Amino acid sequence: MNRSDQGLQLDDGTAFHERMWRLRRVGRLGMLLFILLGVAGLMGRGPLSRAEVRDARGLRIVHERFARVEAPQTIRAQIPAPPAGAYQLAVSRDFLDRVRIESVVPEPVLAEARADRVIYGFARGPGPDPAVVTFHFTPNSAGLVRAGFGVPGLAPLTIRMLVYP
Amino acid sequence: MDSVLRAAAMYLVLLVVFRIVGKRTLSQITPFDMVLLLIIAESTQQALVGPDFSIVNAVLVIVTLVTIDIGLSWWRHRSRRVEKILDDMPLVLVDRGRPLQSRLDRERVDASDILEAARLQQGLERMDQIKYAVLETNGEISIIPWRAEPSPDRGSAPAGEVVGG
Repeated sequence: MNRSDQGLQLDDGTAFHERMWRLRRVGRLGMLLFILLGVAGLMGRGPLSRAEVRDARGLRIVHERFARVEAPQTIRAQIPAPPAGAYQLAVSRDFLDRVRIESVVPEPVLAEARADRVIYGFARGPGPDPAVVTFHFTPNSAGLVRAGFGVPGLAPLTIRMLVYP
Repeated sequence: MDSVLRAAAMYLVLLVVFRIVGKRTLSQITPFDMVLLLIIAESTQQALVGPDFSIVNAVLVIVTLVTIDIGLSWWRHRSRRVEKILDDMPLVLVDRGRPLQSRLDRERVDASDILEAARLQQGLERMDQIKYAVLETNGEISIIPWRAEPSPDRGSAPAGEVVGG
């Protein structure tokens, strides 16, 4: 509406403001939803993000479904005791090329590089207990990261992680 | 490329967020709002440069932001529609002495805000001395007081004369 009567020459755009108020209301609801999803873990670290895969042999991988670039992450692997020798865990190159490994706890005694994976060896203590190994890493780039974790010689468990920019 | 995309993304996010927040919030800077703006600036800075603290990266980010700003400024000048979307439009809050309550509610403006502007700008004392109050695009409220209307026989009334109240 162009108000030229009574001296006020102004186009205050009533229809425009109605539209903007509606959009602003939707925007505020969107922001609230974004916060709730963040708390729930859809942006990383939360109930929606936590995931676990395991196989019949006792290999168990605990990881986050959602991560963010340059944000610290962990993957925990529970490795069943082998019949003999050190605990071994094969980690796919697809994963290692997309992240920066900060540390591995406990520190591996062996890291054997193959074309498509790296095999980590961990010292074996007394008893048949499974070993728990934690990888502390930082994603380098955004996108879908596929990683294979497995005991050498057997089919690996595959995990998927969406890394946000 | 990464830096350019980061800068463009953060510019867009901030543009959308502050449009959702509303112009009145931007004009009323309380000490807490100042702290909030500083925190937002700090969060934005980390997203803009990431782990790269080189001079070249900083220059790339700055040039990207300034170029986007110039581009939008040019587009704003060429397109009335873009200008309205980016800068909003003035909104009449008091029309011929009558407060428009639904608009006041939607913009989170109180009668006390209008009276404050009236005192500061025009030295007015009461709401009935206000002919028009307009919420400008920068979030400020401009006040137009009642004045003697110019007579077709005698010419303009003396400046500063306020009628009504």
